[in-house]
Amino acid sequence: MEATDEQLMLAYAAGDAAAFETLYARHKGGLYRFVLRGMKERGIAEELFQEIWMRVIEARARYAPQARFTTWLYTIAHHRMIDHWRKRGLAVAPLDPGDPDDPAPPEPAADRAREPQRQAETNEQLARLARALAALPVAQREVFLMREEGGLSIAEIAAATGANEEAVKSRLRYALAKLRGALDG
Amino acid sequence: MAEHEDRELSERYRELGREQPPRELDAKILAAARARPGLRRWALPLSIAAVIVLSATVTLEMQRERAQPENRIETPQQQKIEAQTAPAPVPTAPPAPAAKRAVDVSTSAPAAGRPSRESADRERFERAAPAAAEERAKQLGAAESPERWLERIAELRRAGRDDEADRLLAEFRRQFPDYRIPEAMRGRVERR
Repeated sequence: MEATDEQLMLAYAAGDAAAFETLYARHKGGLYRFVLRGMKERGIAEELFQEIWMRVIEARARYAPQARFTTWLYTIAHHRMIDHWRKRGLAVAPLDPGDPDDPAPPEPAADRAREPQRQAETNEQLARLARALAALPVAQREVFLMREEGGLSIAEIAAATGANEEAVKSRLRYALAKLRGALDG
Repeated sequence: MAEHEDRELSERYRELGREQPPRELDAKILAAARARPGLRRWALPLSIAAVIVLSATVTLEMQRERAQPENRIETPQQQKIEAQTAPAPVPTAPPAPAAKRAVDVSTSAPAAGRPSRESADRERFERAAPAAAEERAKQLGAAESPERWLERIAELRRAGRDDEADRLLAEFRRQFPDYRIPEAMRGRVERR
């Protein structure tokens, strides 16, 4: 039977470096995309990504599995991102959709097997989605990304962000409505 | 409907790309993770050793403290001092109030030439907590009958230890303010 994240983290805290490697492999992709799409620059995202894992490494002795490891990991990520925005004098407030500082939407991954016209439509739809995601207010984008990349529930997102569940539900509802709207064109 | 839309949205979102951190970033993080458990291999045995030493010290200290009350009466030195406090006539030595006795023990011990460890410890303890010792003396004294108190005072008076008798009599009056000392006894306990 596969070890849970929490078991791996405890094993790592007891000195098993291989347990960390498994844990890292499980979560690096989701966390990386969460930070990358949550921040404005790839360089900063990578720096923060590294800092988050360093926090995990440093905190291993204090780790107590009171919540899912993922919730703990994304809580650290949330705090690091908040710290970053504060240092740069940015509030965690809705971003203006027309903000020129908004990150450029990532290029959608194309499905090469599709016929050219359909592929073009799909690419256009994904480009709209990427723009809509980048244009979401920070708090709404964070909630959406925690759900998609971390697989966190409403309650877990609330715990990770320090918001109440109603606020999280509301942010998610707004985010989904805007993103669905982008898909529909 | 909303669920279906959410699923579709999730699928579309995944099509945006599944970026992964660059390999060099992976390598840095994994190297840091490997370096730290190595330190912990030393830290863990050290922590365990520290805990064992601390536990043993605390246990010994607790045992020693627990042993003190029993030893107090039983040490030969203590018995000697008790005998000095209560000379001849009374078959069992009249116990002085505990606080006074403690003072006697601590001050008499060097004169006896060989201070016991228990008395030295108790002296240290009572120096540190005189109020507690006094309170304990009162409690012990209060447990005695007034007649027994007066007998002890009379014995002190007869032995010529008037200052101690005066102090004990004053304490007696504080403890038993309503007790009327019989005339015959008054002649024995009050300073002439």
